[in-house]
Formats: sequence, C-alpha cells, structure tokens
Amino acid sequence: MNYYLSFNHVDRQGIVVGDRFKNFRTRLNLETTITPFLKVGTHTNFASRNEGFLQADWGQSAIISPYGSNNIDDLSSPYRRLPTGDVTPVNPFFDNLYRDRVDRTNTLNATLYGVVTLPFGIEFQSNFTPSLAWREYYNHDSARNPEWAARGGSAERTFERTYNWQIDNVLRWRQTFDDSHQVEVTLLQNAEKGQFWRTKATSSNFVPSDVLGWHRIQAGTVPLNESNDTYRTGDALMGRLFYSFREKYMLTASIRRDGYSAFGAQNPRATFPALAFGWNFSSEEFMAGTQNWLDHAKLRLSWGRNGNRDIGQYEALSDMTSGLHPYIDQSGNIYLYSQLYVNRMANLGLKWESKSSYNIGIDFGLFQNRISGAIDVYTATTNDLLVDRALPEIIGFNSVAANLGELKNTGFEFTLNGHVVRRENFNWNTSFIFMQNRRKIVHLYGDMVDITDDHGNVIGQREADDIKNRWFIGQDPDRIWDYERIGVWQINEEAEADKFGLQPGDFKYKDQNGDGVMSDEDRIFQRYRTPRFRWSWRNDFTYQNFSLSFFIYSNWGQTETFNRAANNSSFPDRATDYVLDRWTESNPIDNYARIGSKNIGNNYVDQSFVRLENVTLSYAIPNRLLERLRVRSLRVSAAVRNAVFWAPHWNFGDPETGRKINGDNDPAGSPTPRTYNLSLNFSL
Amino acid sequence: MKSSNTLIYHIVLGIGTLLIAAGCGKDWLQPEPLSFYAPDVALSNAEGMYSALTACERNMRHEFFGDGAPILTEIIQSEVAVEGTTDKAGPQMNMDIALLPDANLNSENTTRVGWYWYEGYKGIKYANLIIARIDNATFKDEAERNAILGAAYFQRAYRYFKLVHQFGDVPFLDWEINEPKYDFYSYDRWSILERLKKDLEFAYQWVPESVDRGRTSKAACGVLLMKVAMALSDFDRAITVGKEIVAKHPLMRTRFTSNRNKPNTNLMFDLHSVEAKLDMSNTEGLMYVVAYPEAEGSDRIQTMRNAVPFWNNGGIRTPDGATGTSVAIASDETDPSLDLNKSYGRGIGRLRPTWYYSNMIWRADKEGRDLRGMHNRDSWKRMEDLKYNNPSLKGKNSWYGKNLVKNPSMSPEDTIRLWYSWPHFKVFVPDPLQTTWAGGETPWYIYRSAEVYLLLAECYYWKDQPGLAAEALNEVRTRAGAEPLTAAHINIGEILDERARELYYEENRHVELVRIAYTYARTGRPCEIFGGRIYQLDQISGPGGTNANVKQEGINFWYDRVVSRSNFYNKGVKHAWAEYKVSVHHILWPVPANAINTNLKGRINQNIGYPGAERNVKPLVVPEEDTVLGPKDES
Repeated sequence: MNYYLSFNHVDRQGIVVGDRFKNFRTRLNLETTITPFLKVGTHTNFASRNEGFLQADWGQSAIISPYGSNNIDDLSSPYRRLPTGDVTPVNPFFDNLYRDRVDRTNTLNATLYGVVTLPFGIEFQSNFTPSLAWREYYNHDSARNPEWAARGGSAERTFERTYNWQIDNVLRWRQTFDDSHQVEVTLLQNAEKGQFWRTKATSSNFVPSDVLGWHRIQAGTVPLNESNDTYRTGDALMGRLFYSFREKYMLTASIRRDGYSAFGAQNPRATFPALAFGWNFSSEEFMAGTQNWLDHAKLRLSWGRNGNRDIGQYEALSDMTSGLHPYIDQSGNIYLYSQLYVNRMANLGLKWESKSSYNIGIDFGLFQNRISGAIDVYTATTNDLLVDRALPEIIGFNSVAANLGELKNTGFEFTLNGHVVRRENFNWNTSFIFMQNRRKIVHLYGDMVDITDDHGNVIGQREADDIKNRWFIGQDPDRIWDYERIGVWQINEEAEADKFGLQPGDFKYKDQNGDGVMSDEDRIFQRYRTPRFRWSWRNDFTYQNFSLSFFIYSNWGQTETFNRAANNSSFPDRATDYVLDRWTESNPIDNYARIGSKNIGNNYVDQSFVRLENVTLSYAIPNRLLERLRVRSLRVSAAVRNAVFWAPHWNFGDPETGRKINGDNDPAGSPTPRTYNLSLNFSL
Repeated sequence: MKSSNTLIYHIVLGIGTLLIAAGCGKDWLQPEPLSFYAPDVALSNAEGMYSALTACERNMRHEFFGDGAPILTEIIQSEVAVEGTTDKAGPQMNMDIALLPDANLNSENTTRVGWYWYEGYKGIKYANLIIARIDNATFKDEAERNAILGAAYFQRAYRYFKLVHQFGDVPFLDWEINEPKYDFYSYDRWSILERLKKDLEFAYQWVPESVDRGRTSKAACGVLLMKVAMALSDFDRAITVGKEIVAKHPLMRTRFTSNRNKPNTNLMFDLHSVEAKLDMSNTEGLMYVVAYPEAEGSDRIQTMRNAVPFWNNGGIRTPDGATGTSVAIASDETDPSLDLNKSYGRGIGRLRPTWYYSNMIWRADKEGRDLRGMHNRDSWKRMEDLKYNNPSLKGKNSWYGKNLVKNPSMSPEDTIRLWYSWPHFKVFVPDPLQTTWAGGETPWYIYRSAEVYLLLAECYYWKDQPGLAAEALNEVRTRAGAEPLTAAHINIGEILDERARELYYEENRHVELVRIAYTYARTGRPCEIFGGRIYQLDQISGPGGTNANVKQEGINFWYDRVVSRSNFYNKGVKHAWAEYKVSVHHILWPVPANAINTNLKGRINQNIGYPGAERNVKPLVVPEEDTVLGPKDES
C-alpha cells in the first residue's frame, strides 16, 4: 500500500487594499496491489477557495484630484463619499463599508482507477474521474449606505453546483519480438458528462430592516428567483499502434472518433486519424563517421487531424429567452407577464472543427550532449472553423454559430540547450527557445462577389470578405484593418481638420481616398495584434554551493490600441488622470492629443517587449555544517519575479497585463506586482 | 481485508460495464436543453403567443427609457431641441460629422439613429415570429387568433412606420428567418406603407378595445392606421378612424388622481403623473408602455437626467464665486424647496430646448394661460426658480437659500447646458429607489387622444377645411387653457406648434416632420409658411454627393422647418467641441455601414447624400398580395 497525504493553506494579500485570496487544499493518493494482477488506487483532492474579499476601487483612486480629501470617517462630511464634491470620482473605499460578501468555492476532484495486468503483456486500466464543485455567492448591499438606502437594502444568495464525470477504459498491449520489433497497441474508450445547476435568489426592500442581510432573504419584499441548468455529454473511441524496429525506425498510427452533444443534433461524431514516423538516423551505419561529435539525431515526420469542440453546449440550438415584464390590469394593479423571444439562430448542422497538420522535425545532441536541441517546421490547415458568422444587421440576430472556411498556419520552432561550462566547481547551463507562427485566411464562406473596374464593369469574381468581423481572404485574422494615424492636427491645419469635425490637437487620420469623409474605404491593412515571434532564454549557473538562474522572454511585433493617448478618457474639469504627455500649441507633438480631444480612430502602439521574469540566487549550506543540526539538507534562496521589462515603444505600464477597458490596455485594472521571495528549504 | 478487496474489484469491473452501457446508448449525445424553451413548444397556444407579443411591447418601451434614450434623437433632429452635452466631442451637434454610415450611430454619447435601425428590425423579428407561426398554434376561437395576429401586425407596422420616415426605402422582412440570409434588397417606402395600411385595417378590426395597459389596443391600431393613411394622403380614412377613437376616449378635462389637490400643480401635472397612468378614470391614454418601481423587468425613464439643465455643475456659482448647488442637502435643512434633486431631478442637460420651443410658441395673447406653457410658473421652471443649496454655504454665505443668479460671463458651453427653462410638469418623474433622482420607473404614454385631435386637425388642413381644423385644435387648446383659434389662424406652422406644445418628449418629432415633408412633395401643395413654396418628391434628399452637405432652402420641408425655427442649427452657434449644423439630406438618416457590408449578395440602398449611395439599385416593390419572404399564395 502506497499513500500520500498533503495539506496546503494560502492566505495572500494583494497590492490593492482589500485584495485578498484564501485557499485550503488537501490531497490524498492511495494505491494498493490486491492480487499480483490487480492494482487499485485513487487520487483525491479537495480545495476550498474564498474570493469574497472586497477590493478597493482602483480605477477611482486614479481619477480623484489630489486636492480631494478622504473624509470617510467623518459621518457628517459632504465629502465622505465624493472626495472632491463632484459626482464623478467616488471614494474607492466607500461602498465596501456597506457590503458584506461571501464567495466560496469548494471542489472535490478524484480519480479512481484499477489496473489489471493480464498475460501476454496486456494491461487493462479503468479510470473513473468524478469532479464536483460547489459555489456559494452571498452578497448584501446594506441600506445604511445612503446611496442604496432607497432600495431598502438588497441581498443575493447564489448557489451553483457542477458535477462532471469521465470514464476511461484503456487496454494496452506491449510486446517485443526478436529483441528488435517492439509493438505497442493502445485502445481507449471514453465517456463524459457535465452537469451544472444554478439557483439565484435576490431580494430588496427589507422589512423591518436588512440587518440580517442574506441570512434572512425572505425579509425582503421584492424577491426574485432564477435558475439555470445545463447538460452536456461526450464520448471517444481511440486506437493507437506503435511499432519500433531496433529503436531506429518508429511508426505511430492512431485513429480516434470523438462525440460531443453540442453537435448532437446532426453531426455528433467525427473521426481523426494521425500518423507519425521517426528515424534515428544517427544509428545508421553510414553515419558511423560522425560518432565523435554527433550523439544522436532523429528525424520526425508526422501528419494528423485533430478536432476542436470549443463552443457553447447549446450554440447549435435556437433558444427562447423568457423574462418578466410588468403590465397594468383593468383595476390599475401592476402584474408581471413573461416575454419570449428567440435569442439565437439555430444551426443544427454544426459540426466539429478539424485541423490537419504536417510537421517535420529534427532532434539532435552534439559533443557528448554539450549541445542538444530540436528544430520543427509545421503547417496546419484548419477547416470548418467554429466561428460566429456575422449576419446582416436586419435579421435581428447579429451572428450565427457556423463551420466555415479554411485557415492556414505555418510555423517554426527552435530549441537549443547547452552546457556551456562543465567544470567541477562551476557549471553554466543555458536553454533558448524561439517560436514563430503565421496565420492566413484561405477561404471564408464561399460567397462570390463581383470585381468591378473603375467604370463599374464586372471583370471577375472573388470570394467575399467578412468586413464586420474584420476577416479578409489572404490575410492574417490578427492583422489590423483600420484608419491610419499620421500624427496630430496642428495649428494652421484648422480648415483641413474642420472637414472631419476636428481641431488642432486631435489625432489625424489619413483620408486615403480624399473624399473628405472617413469611411471603410479609408481603412488600410496595418500591423498585427499578436507577436510576430517569441523567444525565451534560461540560464543556470552554479559555483560551489551557490546557484544563480535567470529567465528572460520576449514577445515581439504585436501592437495594441492606446487610445488613452487621446487624453479623453475622463472629464478634465471634474477628474484627474495619469500623467501623460499632451499636445498643446506650445508642445505640438504628434503622438499624444490635446486634453479632451476627439478621436475618430484608433491609436496603435507597438507593444514588443523583453522581460527579465525571474532571477533566483540560492545557497546550499554545506553538509558538514548540517550534520550537527541533524538536518539532511538546507538551502537558502532569494528570488525576484517580474524583475524588469524593456518595451521600447510602450510606456503605459506593463505591456502584458491589465484589463481591457474600452479596448485599451489599462493598468487601472491590475498592475503587475514585482515580488521578492526569500525562502528556506530543508529536509530532515 | 479479503472481502473489501473483492468489493473494489467489483467496482472496477462495474465501471467498465457502465461505460459500455452509456457510450453505446443511441441518445447519449442528444443535446438536452434544460433551462430554455424551444420555439415549437412555447408558441403552441395563446399564452405563448402573448408572451411573444410581450417581447414586442417591452422593446417599444426602450425608445423612451434610460440615459440618452433614443427618443432624444428624434427630438434633436427637429426644431424643438438640440443636443446639449457640451463637455466633450462626439454628441450629435454637427450632423455633417455625426450622421455618417461609418460613424458610431448607436451610443448615448453620439446619436441613437442606429438604435432605430437595429431595434426596429428586432421588433420586426419579434412580430414576425408570431405572424409566421400563428397557424401552428391552437386558439379558443377565430377572434382570439385574429386579436393576436392583429396585435403582431400593429407591432410590425409600428417599426416600419418609423423606418420608412427615418431611412426611406428599407428592406422589407415579413416572415421569420431561420437561416443565414445575405441577399436583402431595399423596398420602395410607398409600397411598404400600402402593406402597413392593409395590415392595420385588419388589426383595427380585430384587436380588442379594452386591454390591460401595456398591451396593444384597438385605439393604438387606429392611431397608427391614421398616420399611415395620412402618409398615403388618404385623409378621409384617417378622419373616420380618428373620430371613432375620440368618441370612445375623451380628453381628461378635470383634475384627477390622488394629486388633484396638491398645491402648485394643475391638470397637466395630473395627466402626466405616474398615478394617472394607473388611474382607470383616465380615458385619454390609448396605449402605454409599463415600468413601475420594484416591479421586475422595469427600467428608469431618466427624463430628468436627459431634459433638466445641469444645475449640479460647478459652473453654477454664487455671485461671489462659491460652488452653488449640491445633490445632497445640509443634514439639518428643513426647507423642501432647497432639495433641488428631489424637486426637479438632477439633469445633465442632454436635451436643450430651442428658443422656438421654450419661448416662441408661448404667445402672451394666445397661450398666456396655457397650463403647458412657460407662462405657467408651476408647469415650467426657469433657472432663477432654483435656489443655492450647497451645504457648505449654509451659515457662511448669504447666498444660501437665495434664487440662482446668472453669471454674466458664463461660457457658451455653460449657457447651452446649464441655463435654460424646461417643462417640469412633463419630465418630472419621481425616482424613489435612488438617491440621485434622474427619473424613475413609470408607465409612459405611447398615444393619447390629444394627438388624435391634432392628427384630425392636420387632415382637415390638407383637405382645406380650416374651420374643422381649428375646431379639432381647440379641443386640445381649450383643455389646456389656451385661447381658441379660428379658421383664419390655421396653417401647417400652427399645427406643428400645437404638436410641440402638447407632445414634447412624447411624439417622434422628426418622423412627423418627415411625414409632412413627404406629403408636401407628393401632393405638390404650396407651403404657405414658406411663401407658397412647392417641393419635389424626386429631389427630397437634395442633389446628393458625398460630403456635399447642401444647405439650401426649398429642397424639403423638414430642412426648411428646422433651419427656420431652431436658433442653433446653421446659425453659427458653436462651442469648444462642435458647431450646430444640419444639411438637407439629413431628412433621412444614414443606413449603418455594417448593415450594408454584411449583406453580401444583395444591396441595401444608402440614402442620397451619404457615402455609398452611388451603389444604389432600384428598390423593389412590396406586392399587393403575398408575403415577400414567407409562403406565396398559389391561387
């Protein structure tokens, strides 16, 4: 009998007042051999997470004038809630004084398994993986808050339960013949089910009072109940054959059939084959002359199709949404009736998205593995993409879930590991990874439209783009198609700017066709939203008992909107903002606009960066010192995470984080903390 | 131990068996909706159909409710008011910039022109669901079926009537659409109106007279039938229907509701109060949309936020320069008139009345005693009626509690937004669940008998019967305390003035002006208020051309009316962000570019004067019989 038991408790405070996270986890693993051929076991973990802590409103803190005052403790102050007297900036601590919240999630995940070992190298494993989650969300907005007093307090109790399970039966057969033919067969059978139940009870206008909050929701005189339940199922069958000849030639062939209820109306299942071939060519005789420098080299070729079912479980069905609406009966009393409307257009023919990929790669090791690495080149074509296809904006549905088009991916990946220095006292290991991926839309919906010349004559046909979704045939879906910003309107350009209703100090966008009106005709292809390439580099140094490591990575070539540069995200007469550069008559710059400018397009800024993510220095106390303490090992380390980044064009906070607010990468949401970690690690 | 081992062994084998049972089940992957309805089941009886009608009736309400409600756009694109938000760029002031197909056409910070397009077609979708499935459901009798079908016809016509006056020729969708479709074409607006008339005759025949408030009523079908008939110059039919409506739904002429003895109020306060809309003695209301405090599915109307001046702005100062006003009052203040928030609501001045609406139409000799007018100091409020109430002034500054005084050096931004008079009786709606009063949950009129009289008056005008026109106008005028008019006074201006007096924040002012503009152009009748000018139908949007922005009188009645009465548009009025401008082609609004772009295989026409109109094709014609998208009658 093997067992493993662990407990873990986390209580973490964030960098914003009130931001806190508590988590308790326990894990139990058991495995026992019942008979020589039967082994059973379980991995079980339980976690309880509390997210009900109330964080101060960071966004407000940024816009309160420094002349505003925090009078929150002075109950008679008119500036208690509104630190400047104006209604725009609100004291970021105020509402939380009157709010009581519990947001607790408990999860219980388990895997129960049994492994039966049969003769002739056959093994049968059966897994049952249930997963349960309960979430309780209780919230009370107290009537003591003058802002909420008129509602007489309001409270909510929401309870959610998720129960998912999965069963896998796996049959494996492994055999080696003549010491040179290795065969492995795997057969898998899988079924899964996901169920979710949600009950929400809210109430307001509590009588006689709301002091009991969500503990006595029936004291509220305006109750509302809601529920929402969902259900999904899936299954899979898979067979895989692996064959290897003297570990020199390797072949893997597999086929799987997947089923998912979201496609259940007409096309629940799809079949996905794959084939992979490996050749350890360094073991070939003709490579004998290279043995003094080449340790191993392997060529890999593969082709395969796989499926994607990443779509809501009911997307294929038309749904009728109901909701209550008041009427007045013929005695003058209010009553409620339910409305019904079709919320989603059905597409019963929805099916699996499939992606076929070709990959060619080489793994290698050189000079007694001082240098090793891998190079991969791939191309992948996705068909029947699951997309929300735009509909003409008169049908009453904005889009419909559909399988459409063809998207081509090509990419290149390169990994290099090196033992740069390998001495008794000093080691330097390094690892570098480079990745590049390009995407291109080959087909969309197959709708052909006419191409006309300048005189309006039809000279051919082409496949139509999806302009609303900004998808264009032959382009990367991440390519920006928008107005081209060419600076800021300057003094003495008033007349020209006025054509667009703009003034000096506003962003200047190019009217490509010169018709004096900004329209789709003036949008052009610009740069990309996603990185053009990424790389990461890890280094580990050890010197005697010291070790030092650092990790650097970089995303390069992506752009992001930075419309805050238009200096119009708050009312300058009522709120302050971050210190940003700004256009004025005496500071006629071309990358920031005047305060309160009118911005008719988007300002894109290159967000490329290199980040030193982690630096760790540690020292292992020598054993001779430890013996007296009866400690087997002791290590002291100091680490910095998020140490520093360099973003040559982006100067508005962290280029990687932040909530999107109005399309802007806004650090008002969540600044990234830099963490310093000092740790002591010992074993007895 | 041995026995428990066997047990586990059984469990393992049991799992394998369970899988085979589950995985091979025929219905295993059948999707199973648990918490939403499928249309075929939900719409199989009258209850389901009434629920589908509720979606239409709820969607109607959105036009009038909320911050920057869509109705403001209808008022701003006319001569009675302009957009007053002067602290930023974007709101619809310079229409040459704001009304473009690629501009943001559906935001409270710009314009809600696009709202009428998107939500109009949504309302049409909700109604078509009923129309297409009416014969799949079972009903008690023919009358029940036809009442529901008639109400659905009304709901569809209600949207199309707006669309053909806002966007001219538009796609005509008359059936449920279940699959992606990309080949729509615009239809001739006159042929759409003909179809609406036919549908509304059916509705007027079958929809019951007496319905719960919030439901579609026979009288509502009648009012819309009148408007459609008038748009088609069938004034006789409109008069017949109008007379039938007012016979059954007389105006309220005496004070009513529990407020009847409230000081500083009058009949007009009663008529527009929340209580009046729940009062069964109210015979004037013909159709309502409903919201009510603490009733689920309600919404706040925010009339005061939209229409009351921004008195809470820092620009309102005492003559000695202190911040003058506050939403919160001093905790020990007992004078209710200092609670500006609850007396008037906190406005942000989105809807700035023009001089025409706040002064010109209230003539001392004719409207001096009009309860709806600025001469009545209860009904209308001026900035000077408000008092300095900032708690920090109390006991420290002698201006506390005194009436506001206009700062002579107020900026143009502030005079537009902070300093004007407004019809308090109409826009005041208590907001009991909020601390900042913006205008709370309330029912609202869609149609009242008063409008029917004004439509009757207009019909008599077109029929050259000024005596009867004056008589109809006087019903509304004398009820409100205005002096009666005679046949000699009657002209289109007098009728439009009366509509402004009676129907501010109720009517679709722009739609009505465009309807009249089309009628002049179609009938060729000389327009007496513009020196007998005659308008042409084929040039109603002007000569067109991207960015031509023609500002020439005599092209259409809408432009001439707006420019001649508004003291803002094309008068050089400007502030830091924009100048107030309109052009002749703004009579019709731009079709949103996305609607045109996504319609890959057909052609939705753009209106003349906007970019893209050069690609228009000839609009199709709605056939007299048969549906366009639904089943065709083989006989």
